[in-house]
Amino acid sequence: MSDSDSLLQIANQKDRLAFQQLFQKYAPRVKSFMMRHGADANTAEELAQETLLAVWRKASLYSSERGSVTTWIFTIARNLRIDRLRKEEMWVELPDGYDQEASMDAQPDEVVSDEERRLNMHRALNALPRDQYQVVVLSFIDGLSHREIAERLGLPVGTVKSRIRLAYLKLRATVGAQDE
Amino acid sequence: MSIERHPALENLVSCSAGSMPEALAAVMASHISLCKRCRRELAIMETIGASLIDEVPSASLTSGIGILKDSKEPKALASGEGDVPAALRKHVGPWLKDVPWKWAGFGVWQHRIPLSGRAKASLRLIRVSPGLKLPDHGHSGSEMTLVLRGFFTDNTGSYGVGDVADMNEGDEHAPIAGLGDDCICLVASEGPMRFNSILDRVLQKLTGFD
Ligand SMILES: [Zn+2]
Repeated sequence: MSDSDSLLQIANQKDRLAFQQLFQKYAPRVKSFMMRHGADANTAEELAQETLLAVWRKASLYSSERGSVTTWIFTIARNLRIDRLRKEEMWVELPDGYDQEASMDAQPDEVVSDEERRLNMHRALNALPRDQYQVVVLSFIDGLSHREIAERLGLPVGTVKSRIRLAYLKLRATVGAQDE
Repeated sequence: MSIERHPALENLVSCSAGSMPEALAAVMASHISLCKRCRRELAIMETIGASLIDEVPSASLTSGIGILKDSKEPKALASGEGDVPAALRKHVGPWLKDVPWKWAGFGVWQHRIPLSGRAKASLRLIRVSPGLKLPDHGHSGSEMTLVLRGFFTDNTGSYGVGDVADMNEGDEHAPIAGLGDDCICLVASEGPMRFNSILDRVLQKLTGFD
Protein backbone atom coordinates (compact mmCIF):
# COMPACT_ATOMS: atom_id res chain seq x y z
CA MET A 1 0.00 0.00 0.00
CA SER A 2 1.43 3.41 -0.94
CA ASP A 3 1.65 6.14 1.66
CA SER A 4 -1.19 8.10 0.14
CA ASP A 5 -3.38 4.97 0.05
CA SER A 6 -2.62 4.44 3.73
CA LEU A 7 -3.64 7.99 4.44
CA LEU A 8 -6.88 7.55 2.52
CA GLN A 9 -7.64 4.42 4.53
CA ILE A 10 -7.05 6.36 7.71
CA ALA A 11 -9.21 9.26 6.57
CA ASN A 12 -12.09 7.06 5.44
CA GLN A 13 -12.09 4.18 7.89
CA LYS A 14 -9.74 5.04 10.71
CA ASP A 15 -7.73 2.05 9.58
CA ARG A 16 -5.23 1.22 12.33
CA LEU A 17 -3.17 -1.15 10.24
CA ALA A 18 -2.64 1.52 7.63
CA PHE A 19 -1.60 3.87 10.40
CA GLN A 20 0.81 1.34 11.81
CA GLN A 21 2.52 1.15 8.46
CA LEU A 22 3.03 4.93 8.31
CA PHE A 23 4.10 5.00 11.93
CA GLN A 24 6.77 2.36 11.49
CA LYS A 25 8.12 4.11 8.46
CA TYR A 26 8.16 7.69 9.70
CA ALA A 27 8.28 7.82 13.50
CA PRO A 28 11.94 6.62 13.71
CA ARG A 29 13.00 9.23 11.17
CA VAL A 30 11.11 12.04 12.80
CA LYS A 31 12.70 11.03 16.09
CA SER A 32 16.18 11.38 14.71
CA PHE A 33 15.18 14.64 12.98
CA MET A 34 14.24 16.02 16.40
CA MET A 35 17.46 14.73 17.96
CA ARG A 36 19.54 16.47 15.28
CA HIS A 37 18.05 19.74 16.51
CA GLY A 38 19.16 19.02 20.04
CA ALA A 39 16.21 17.17 21.58
CA ASP A 40 17.08 14.39 24.04
CA ALA A 41 15.89 10.90 23.13
CA ASN A 42 12.73 11.04 25.25
CA THR A 43 11.59 14.42 24.01
CA ALA A 44 12.41 13.44 20.44
CA GLU A 45 10.31 10.31 20.77
CA GLU A 46 7.39 12.25 22.20
CA LEU A 47 7.57 14.69 19.32
CA ALA A 48 7.70 11.82 16.84
CA GLN A 49 4.56 10.38 18.49
CA GLU A 50 2.90 13.75 18.29
CA THR A 51 3.81 14.25 14.64
CA LEU A 52 2.27 10.91 13.72
CA LEU A 53 -0.75 11.54 15.92
CA ALA A 54 -1.34 14.72 13.91
CA VAL A 55 -1.24 12.57 10.78
CA TRP A 56 -3.92 10.32 12.27
CA ARG A 57 -6.14 13.23 13.22
CA LYS A 58 -5.68 15.33 10.12
CA ALA A 59 -5.68 12.56 7.52
CA SER A 60 -8.89 13.86 5.95
CA LEU A 61 -7.27 17.26 5.30
CA TYR A 62 -4.51 15.77 3.21
CA SER A 63 -4.77 16.01 -0.52
CA SER A 64 -2.18 14.56 -2.87
CA GLU A 65 -2.34 17.71 -5.03
CA ARG A 66 -0.51 19.53 -2.30
CA GLY A 67 2.50 17.25 -2.36
CA SER A 68 3.58 13.86 -1.14
CA VAL A 69 2.80 12.31 2.23
CA THR A 70 6.46 12.63 3.19
CA THR A 71 6.37 16.35 2.48
CA TRP A 72 3.29 16.77 4.59
CA ILE A 73 4.85 14.85 7.47
CA PHE A 74 8.03 16.92 7.11
CA THR A 75 6.06 20.17 7.47
CA ILE A 76 4.21 18.88 10.54
CA ALA A 77 7.50 17.85 12.15
CA ARG A 78 9.13 21.13 11.16
CA ASN A 79 6.40 23.18 12.78
CA LEU A 80 6.39 21.05 15.93
CA ARG A 81 10.12 21.55 16.19
CA ILE A 82 9.65 25.32 16.08
CA ASP A 83 6.82 25.20 18.60
CA ARG A 84 8.22 22.71 21.12
CA LEU A 85 11.98 22.80 20.79
CA ARG A 86 12.52 26.45 19.95
CA LYS A 87 9.37 27.60 21.76
CA GLU A 88 8.63 30.07 19.00
CA GLU A 89 5.52 30.77 17.07
CA MET A 90 4.93 28.64 13.95
CA TRP A 91 4.55 31.52 11.52
CA VAL A 92 4.68 29.51 8.32
CA GLU A 93 1.54 27.44 7.86
CA LEU A 94 1.31 23.81 6.95
CA PRO A 95 0.43 23.30 3.30
CA ASP A 96 -3.12 22.40 4.40
CA GLY A 97 -3.49 25.84 5.96
CA TYR A 98 -3.62 27.67 2.67
CA ASP A 99 -6.70 27.94 0.56
CA GLN A 100 -7.38 25.24 -2.00
CA GLU A 101 -4.69 25.36 -4.60
CA ALA A 102 -2.45 22.78 -6.17
CA SER A 103 0.92 23.45 -4.68
CA MET A 104 3.00 21.92 -7.38
CA ASP A 105 0.85 23.15 -10.28
CA ALA A 106 1.60 20.03 -12.29
CA GLN A 107 1.27 20.53 -16.02
CA PRO A 108 -1.46 18.22 -17.29
CA ASP A 109 0.71 16.94 -20.14
CA GLU A 110 3.64 15.97 -17.94
CA VAL A 111 2.20 14.47 -14.83
CA VAL A 112 5.12 13.16 -12.84
CA SER A 113 4.30 10.54 -10.26
CA ASP A 114 5.10 11.11 -6.61
CA GLU A 115 7.59 8.32 -6.75
CA GLU A 116 9.41 9.74 -9.77
CA ARG A 117 9.52 13.18 -8.24
CA ARG A 118 10.96 11.74 -5.06
CA LEU A 119 13.65 9.85 -6.94
CA ASN A 120 14.54 12.93 -8.98
CA MET A 121 14.98 14.99 -5.85
CA HIS A 122 17.16 12.32 -4.22
CA ARG A 123 19.37 12.14 -7.25
CA ALA A 124 19.63 15.90 -7.49
CA LEU A 125 20.47 16.22 -3.79
CA ASN A 126 23.21 13.65 -4.08
CA ALA A 127 24.58 15.29 -7.22
CA LEU A 128 25.11 18.62 -5.40
CA PRO A 129 28.69 19.69 -4.68
CA ARG A 130 29.57 18.73 -1.11
CA ASP A 131 29.70 22.28 0.20
CA GLN A 132 26.21 22.99 -1.13
CA TYR A 133 24.77 19.70 0.14
CA GLN A 134 26.21 20.46 3.56
CA VAL A 135 24.49 23.84 3.96
CA VAL A 136 21.18 22.42 2.75
CA VAL A 137 21.32 19.64 5.35
CA LEU A 138 22.33 22.05 8.11
CA SER A 139 19.37 24.22 7.19
CA PHE A 140 16.65 21.56 6.82
CA ILE A 141 17.74 18.81 9.16
CA ASP A 142 19.79 20.56 11.84
CA GLY A 143 17.47 23.58 11.69
CA LEU A 144 20.27 26.15 11.74
CA SER A 145 19.78 29.74 10.56
CA HIS A 146 22.13 31.25 7.98
CA ARG A 147 24.07 32.95 10.74
CA GLU A 148 24.35 29.75 12.79
CA ILE A 149 25.56 27.83 9.76
CA ALA A 150 28.13 30.55 9.09
CA GLU A 151 29.36 30.29 12.67
CA ARG A 152 29.54 26.53 12.60
CA LEU A 153 31.48 26.40 9.34
CA GLY A 154 33.56 29.52 9.92
CA LEU A 155 32.24 31.19 6.76
CA PRO A 156 30.85 34.65 6.01
CA VAL A 157 27.02 34.72 6.12
CA GLY A 158 27.02 35.86 2.48
CA THR A 159 28.78 32.67 1.41
CA VAL A 160 26.22 30.52 3.21
CA LYS A 161 23.40 32.44 1.53
CA SER A 162 24.85 32.05 -1.93
CA ARG A 163 25.54 28.33 -1.45
CA ILE A 164 21.95 27.74 -0.38
CA ARG A 165 20.68 29.76 -3.29
CA LEU A 166 22.82 27.91 -5.84
CA ALA A 167 21.82 24.56 -4.38
CA TYR A 168 18.15 25.46 -4.54
CA LEU A 169 18.32 26.62 -8.14
CA LYS A 170 19.80 23.26 -9.14
CA LEU A 171 17.25 21.28 -7.14
CA ARG A 172 14.39 23.31 -8.53
CA ALA A 173 15.52 22.74 -12.08
CA THR A 174 15.34 18.98 -11.58
CA VAL A 175 11.73 19.03 -10.45
CA GLY A 176 10.90 20.90 -13.62
CA ALA A 177 9.89 24.24 -12.15
CA GLN A 178 10.53 27.23 -14.38
CA ASP A 179 11.17 30.86 -13.62
CA GLU A 180 8.25 33.06 -14.55
CA MET B 1 -2.47 44.30 -7.06
CA SER B 2 0.62 42.64 -8.36
CA ILE B 3 3.61 41.88 -6.21
CA GLU B 4 6.92 42.82 -7.82
CA ARG B 5 9.48 42.24 -5.11
CA HIS B 6 9.88 38.93 -3.38
CA PRO B 7 12.17 37.83 -0.59
CA ALA B 8 15.53 36.32 -1.56
CA LEU B 9 15.23 32.63 -2.45
CA GLU B 10 17.72 31.62 0.23
CA ASN B 11 15.45 33.23 2.80
CA LEU B 12 12.44 31.33 1.50
CA VAL B 13 14.52 28.15 1.80
CA SER B 14 15.21 29.01 5.41
CA CYS B 15 11.50 29.47 6.04
CA SER B 16 10.59 26.16 4.49
CA ALA B 17 13.34 24.51 6.53
CA GLY B 18 11.89 26.04 9.70
CA SER B 19 15.27 27.57 10.48
CA MET B 20 14.55 31.26 10.00
CA PRO B 21 14.88 33.58 13.02
CA GLU B 22 11.41 34.27 14.35
CA ALA B 23 10.94 37.96 13.51
CA LEU B 24 12.05 37.45 9.92
CA ALA B 25 9.87 34.34 9.66
CA ALA B 26 6.86 36.46 10.64
CA VAL B 27 7.45 38.87 7.76
CA MET B 28 8.08 36.01 5.34
CA ALA B 29 4.93 34.17 6.44
CA SER B 30 2.90 37.36 5.98
CA HIS B 31 4.28 37.83 2.48
CA ILE B 32 3.71 34.16 1.68
CA SER B 33 0.07 34.43 2.69
CA LEU B 34 -0.27 37.23 0.09
CA CYS B 35 1.92 35.77 -2.65
CA LYS B 36 1.02 32.78 -4.76
CA ARG B 37 4.40 32.66 -6.46
CA CYS B 38 6.28 32.31 -3.18
CA ARG B 39 3.77 29.71 -1.98
CA ARG B 40 4.67 27.69 -5.03
CA GLU B 41 8.41 28.04 -4.34
CA LEU B 42 7.80 27.07 -0.74
CA ALA B 43 6.00 23.90 -1.82
CA ILE B 44 9.00 22.88 -3.93
CA MET B 45 11.37 23.67 -1.08
CA GLU B 46 9.34 21.54 1.30
CA THR B 47 9.94 18.54 -0.96
CA ILE B 48 13.67 19.02 -0.31
CA GLY B 49 13.03 18.71 3.42
CA ALA B 50 10.99 15.58 2.75
CA SER B 51 13.77 13.98 0.72
CA LEU B 52 16.32 14.74 3.40
CA ILE B 53 14.09 13.24 6.08
CA ASP B 54 14.05 10.11 3.93
CA GLU B 55 17.84 10.05 4.06
CA VAL B 56 18.19 10.57 7.80
CA PRO B 57 19.15 7.33 9.56
CA SER B 58 16.26 6.07 11.69
CA ALA B 59 16.43 6.29 15.46
CA SER B 60 15.05 3.27 17.27
CA LEU B 61 11.86 3.79 19.22
CA THR B 62 11.47 2.71 22.80
CA SER B 63 7.68 2.59 22.71
CA GLY B 64 4.97 1.70 20.25
CA ILE B 65 2.07 3.71 18.96
CA GLY B 66 0.56 5.83 21.69
CA ILE B 67 -3.14 6.33 22.28
CA LEU B 68 -4.87 7.51 19.15
CA LYS B 69 -7.07 10.37 20.20
CA ASP B 70 -9.59 11.76 17.80
CA SER B 71 -10.30 15.41 17.83
CA LYS B 72 -11.30 17.96 15.31
CA GLU B 73 -8.39 20.20 14.41
CA PRO B 74 -9.44 23.82 14.53
CA LYS B 75 -9.14 25.54 11.18
CA ALA B 76 -6.11 27.78 11.59
CA LEU B 77 -6.53 30.11 8.67
CA ALA B 78 -8.25 33.41 9.36
CA SER B 79 -9.81 33.80 5.96
CA GLY B 80 -12.45 36.44 6.68
CA GLU B 81 -12.32 40.08 5.64
CA GLY B 82 -9.43 42.31 6.59
CA ASP B 83 -6.31 44.03 5.29
CA VAL B 84 -3.92 42.34 7.72
CA PRO B 85 -2.18 39.24 6.28
CA ALA B 86 -3.61 36.00 7.69
CA ALA B 87 -0.40 35.07 9.48
CA LEU B 88 -0.53 38.25 11.61
CA ARG B 89 -4.18 38.36 12.52
CA LYS B 90 -4.01 36.60 15.82
CA HIS B 91 -1.71 39.38 17.01
CA VAL B 92 -3.24 42.51 15.55
CA GLY B 93 -6.71 41.51 14.42
CA PRO B 94 -7.97 41.73 10.84
CA TRP B 95 -7.85 45.51 10.26
CA LEU B 96 -4.91 47.93 10.18
CA LYS B 97 -7.16 50.78 11.30
CA ASP B 98 -7.64 49.08 14.67
CA VAL B 99 -3.93 48.79 15.48
CA PRO B 100 -3.09 50.62 18.75
CA TRP B 101 -0.39 52.90 17.31
CA LYS B 102 2.20 54.60 19.50
CA TRP B 103 3.86 57.83 18.43
CA ALA B 104 7.54 57.23 17.64
CA GLY B 105 8.79 60.51 16.24
CA PHE B 106 7.72 63.13 13.75
CA GLY B 107 5.22 61.52 11.38
CA VAL B 108 6.03 57.98 12.52
CA TRP B 109 3.95 55.60 14.62
CA GLN B 110 4.74 52.06 15.59
CA HIS B 111 3.23 49.01 17.18
CA ARG B 112 5.49 46.29 18.53
CA ILE B 113 4.48 42.67 18.13
CA PRO B 114 5.79 40.49 20.94
CA LEU B 115 7.98 37.52 20.09
CA SER B 116 9.11 34.54 22.14
CA GLY B 117 11.65 35.28 24.85
CA ARG B 118 14.73 34.17 22.97
CA ALA B 119 14.22 36.28 19.86
CA LYS B 120 17.18 38.51 19.11
CA ALA B 121 15.25 40.67 16.69
CA SER B 122 12.25 42.98 16.83
CA LEU B 123 9.00 42.81 14.94
CA ARG B 124 6.74 45.83 14.52
CA LEU B 125 4.25 47.59 12.39
CA ILE B 126 5.39 51.04 11.32
CA ARG B 127 3.12 53.76 9.96
CA VAL B 128 4.74 56.72 8.21
CA SER B 129 3.02 59.91 7.03
CA PRO B 130 2.83 60.41 3.26
CA GLY B 131 5.96 61.94 1.75
CA LEU B 132 8.01 61.61 4.93
CA LYS B 133 11.67 60.80 4.49
CA LEU B 134 13.11 58.43 7.07
CA PRO B 135 16.68 59.28 8.01
CA ASP B 136 19.53 57.55 6.23
CA HIS B 137 20.23 54.38 8.10
CA GLY B 138 22.32 51.26 7.97
CA HIS B 139 21.59 47.89 9.53
CA SER B 140 23.53 45.93 12.04
CA GLY B 141 21.71 42.74 11.01
CA SER B 142 19.17 41.62 8.42
CA GLU B 143 16.05 43.70 8.03
CA MET B 144 12.96 42.67 6.19
CA THR B 145 10.08 45.01 5.37
CA LEU B 146 6.69 44.08 3.94
CA VAL B 147 4.44 46.87 2.66
CA LEU B 148 0.83 46.53 3.81
CA ARG B 149 -0.54 49.89 2.68
CA GLY B 150 0.71 52.76 0.50
CA PHE B 151 4.23 52.54 -0.89
CA PHE B 152 7.76 53.74 -0.32
CA THR B 153 10.81 54.31 -2.44
CA ASP B 154 14.52 54.16 -1.71
CA ASN B 155 17.73 53.87 -3.69
CA THR B 156 16.77 50.32 -4.70
CA GLY B 157 13.40 51.25 -6.19
CA SER B 158 9.74 51.43 -5.29
CA TYR B 159 7.83 49.06 -3.00
CA GLY B 160 4.05 48.66 -3.06
CA VAL B 161 1.55 46.52 -1.17
CA GLY B 162 2.79 42.94 -0.82
CA ASP B 163 6.38 43.80 -1.81
CA VAL B 164 9.27 42.83 0.42
CA ALA B 165 12.47 44.81 0.91
CA ASP B 166 15.04 42.25 1.96
CA MET B 167 18.09 44.08 3.38
CA ASN B 168 21.29 42.42 4.51
CA GLU B 169 23.69 43.46 7.20
CA GLY B 170 25.62 46.50 6.02
CA ASP B 171 23.04 47.69 3.46
CA GLU B 172 22.04 51.34 3.80
CA HIS B 173 18.93 53.11 2.61
CA ALA B 174 16.81 56.20 3.17
CA PRO B 175 13.20 55.23 2.48
CA ILE B 176 10.64 57.89 1.55
CA ALA B 177 6.95 57.17 2.10
CA GLY B 178 4.87 57.63 -1.04
CA LEU B 179 2.29 60.38 -1.41
CA GLY B 180 -1.36 59.56 -0.86
CA ASP B 181 -1.99 57.12 1.97
CA ASP B 182 0.11 56.63 5.05
CA CYS B 183 2.65 53.93 4.37
CA ILE B 184 2.20 50.96 6.70
CA CYS B 185 4.86 48.25 6.83
CA LEU B 186 5.66 45.17 8.85
CA VAL B 187 9.33 45.33 9.73
CA ALA B 188 11.61 42.71 11.26
CA SER B 189 15.07 43.88 12.22
CA GLU B 190 17.81 41.76 13.69
CA GLY B 191 19.85 44.60 15.10
CA PRO B 192 19.10 48.23 15.86
CA MET B 193 19.14 50.59 12.91
CA ARG B 194 22.23 52.76 12.68
CA PHE B 195 21.34 56.31 11.81
CA ASN B 196 23.96 58.31 10.03
CA SER B 197 23.50 61.78 11.50
CA ILE B 198 23.97 62.87 15.08
CA LEU B 199 20.59 64.59 15.26
CA ASP B 200 18.86 61.43 14.09
CA ARG B 201 20.71 59.42 16.70
CA VAL B 202 19.53 61.81 19.42
CA LEU B 203 15.95 61.51 18.20
CA GLN B 204 16.32 57.74 18.18
CA LYS B 205 17.19 57.86 21.90
CA LEU B 206 14.35 60.24 22.75
CA THR B 207 11.62 58.34 21.00
CA GLY B 208 12.72 54.80 21.77
CA PHE B 209 12.73 54.02 18.05
CA ASP B 210 15.44 51.43 17.76
ZN1 LIG C 1 6.51 36.43 -3.22
